[in-house]
Amino acid sequence: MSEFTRFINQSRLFSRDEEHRLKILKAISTYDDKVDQMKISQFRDWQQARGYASKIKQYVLDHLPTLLEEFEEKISARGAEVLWARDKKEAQKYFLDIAKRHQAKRVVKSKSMTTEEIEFNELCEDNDIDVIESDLGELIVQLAGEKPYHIVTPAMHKSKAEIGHLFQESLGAPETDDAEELTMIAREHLRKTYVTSDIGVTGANFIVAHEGALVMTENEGNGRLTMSCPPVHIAIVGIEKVLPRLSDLSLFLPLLATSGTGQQVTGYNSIIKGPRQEGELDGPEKMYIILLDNGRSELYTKHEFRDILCCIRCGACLNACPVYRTIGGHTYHTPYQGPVGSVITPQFRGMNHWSHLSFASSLCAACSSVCPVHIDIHQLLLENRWEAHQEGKTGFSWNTGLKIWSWVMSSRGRLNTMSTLGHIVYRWFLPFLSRSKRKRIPKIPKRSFEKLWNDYEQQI
Amino acid sequence: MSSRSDILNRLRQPSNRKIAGQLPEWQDKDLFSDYPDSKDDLLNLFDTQLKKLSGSLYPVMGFEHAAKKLNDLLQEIDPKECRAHESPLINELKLHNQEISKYLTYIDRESISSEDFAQFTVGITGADCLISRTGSVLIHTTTAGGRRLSVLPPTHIVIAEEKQLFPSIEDALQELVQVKNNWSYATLITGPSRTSDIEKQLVLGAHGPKHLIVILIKN
Repeated sequence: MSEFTRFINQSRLFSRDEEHRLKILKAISTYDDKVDQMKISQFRDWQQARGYASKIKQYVLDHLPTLLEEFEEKISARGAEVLWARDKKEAQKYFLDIAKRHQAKRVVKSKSMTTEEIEFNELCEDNDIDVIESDLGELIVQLAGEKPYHIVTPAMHKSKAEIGHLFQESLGAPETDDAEELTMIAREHLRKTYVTSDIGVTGANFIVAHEGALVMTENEGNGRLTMSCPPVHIAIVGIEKVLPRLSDLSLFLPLLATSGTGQQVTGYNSIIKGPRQEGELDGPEKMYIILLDNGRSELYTKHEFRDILCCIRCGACLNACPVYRTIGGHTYHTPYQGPVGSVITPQFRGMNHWSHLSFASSLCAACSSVCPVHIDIHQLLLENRWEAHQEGKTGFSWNTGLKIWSWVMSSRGRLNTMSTLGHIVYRWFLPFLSRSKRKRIPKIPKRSFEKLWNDYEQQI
Repeated sequence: MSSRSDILNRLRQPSNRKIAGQLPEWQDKDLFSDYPDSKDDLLNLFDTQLKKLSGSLYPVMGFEHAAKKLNDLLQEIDPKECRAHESPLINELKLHNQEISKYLTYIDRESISSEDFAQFTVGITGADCLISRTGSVLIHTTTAGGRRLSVLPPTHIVIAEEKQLFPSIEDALQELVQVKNNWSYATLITGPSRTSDIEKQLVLGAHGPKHLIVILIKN
């Protein structure tokens, strides 16, 4: 089945699944309330904060190669090893080499989208390495044999009862549908893992260039444990995650927390400057940083798309998107869902199989209006459509349809003729042609806007 | 060509994009509406924010009261499995309380496996600074006795002085930049460990400490 067919089938399925839609609606409306409130209670002017954030990220784009080199130099001086991975394959190879060098049998992992990108869990399974997700949401989807539903809330689609059942089956836990008890089951289950794993794998939210540090944001503490207990720490980070100065965090930490979860700041914001240093009591003996390109530098060279590399993966555009809310995260079938996923997936994986994602949007711009770093996401969806068209990836009916549309729209007379014609078809034939159970066809007024306007003008 | 130069070369390809200009400078005071108005508000605001996050604050006058408070707290939990990171501040508390000095063990001189470490019930550390606006505690490996002591035990007790209170995150980061030794890890702690991964319902104590307690010594 092609990705396009799969997408259409899944969309049909999920948009009609009322129970599913209710779960998502509930989760997102809780999020909406908290975020709206936090924007007002924390920031003097949210728009001003966005403006600063966007400026900083634009500066980063202008100086990206230099800032990356600065980061590499600073963190290497403290003994971390920086590895540059062109693509998924190379990142996988780096990991397997490290695992072999340290004879790793078990890996504990905190939530990271880059590891989803390189299909890290599948890689470990194929190579007989035990891999355990430590973030609660990620653990739930791992046990269920699924992929994350949302880049910030991976198990958004699972109800308490479903999770209770899952824990009962896969962990042998007693039956419960209480969120607190379920969390404690996961806590107990994972405690041993941290202290018996050979490698801890994490992502990072920011790369700080001047100080040579990684920054990781989380609430549960699983990330902290993952980079404190095992003797080896590997961080897999996208090359675009750069901030110039440590002081930029005083804006970006509250900004990310507000947009991501409606918190003032997240529970733990860790700054990592290397492996255990001389005189320190503990910490990993070795630290590796895999800087993942995987299509990012290619995107960087297309200057109209460069802005999408400002994205800090807060997930706000997913929550705001009417399409995401309706079809759900799994329908996208990519690590990055929602509007941002619909921009980068066709770019990373090719228009051939993925351009449909950029067309699955009403271009309502809700995504752009909530983006904390001011990316015009809907504009980039249009750019994607244009690129797909240029590459000849849009079908005959789309191309011809648009030609006819532009021919009609470029003359008032043709538009009037077509709207009269359309009126008749709509009124007299459409109700018989599409007897849809899910949609009711709205009534259209007898007089068009143009006629009303003419009348109005005559009156004055 | 190595992947490194391959990637960097691609990033260095000439582009006709407009250069955005200088980095903006700001002060937290201008950005955040909940910035404390005056120095006198620092402690009250910190207290309010920490409590909102389900953390506990005990402001006490002088070392003697602080030592007594610490002893009371530890007796309630399990004094045998408490571990502390040696610092002048905690040494001072030990001097002021015979009982604490009898049972409180420092982790600093032994190498402890993570399996053993996981048995400890309380971790006691110092702090770099406390942040009033967000109710946060900033620690780094020197003030926190490494990485594990503040995250593996189910209770984390922070001993700090009133002069360590600062208005906002920018102050904390400035403090951190000034630290001279070569630390590898710092963390800004805002409340006990938490999760909302199950139906967006808040649960405390996901993987890290369930309890975060700050004993603040006033002069």
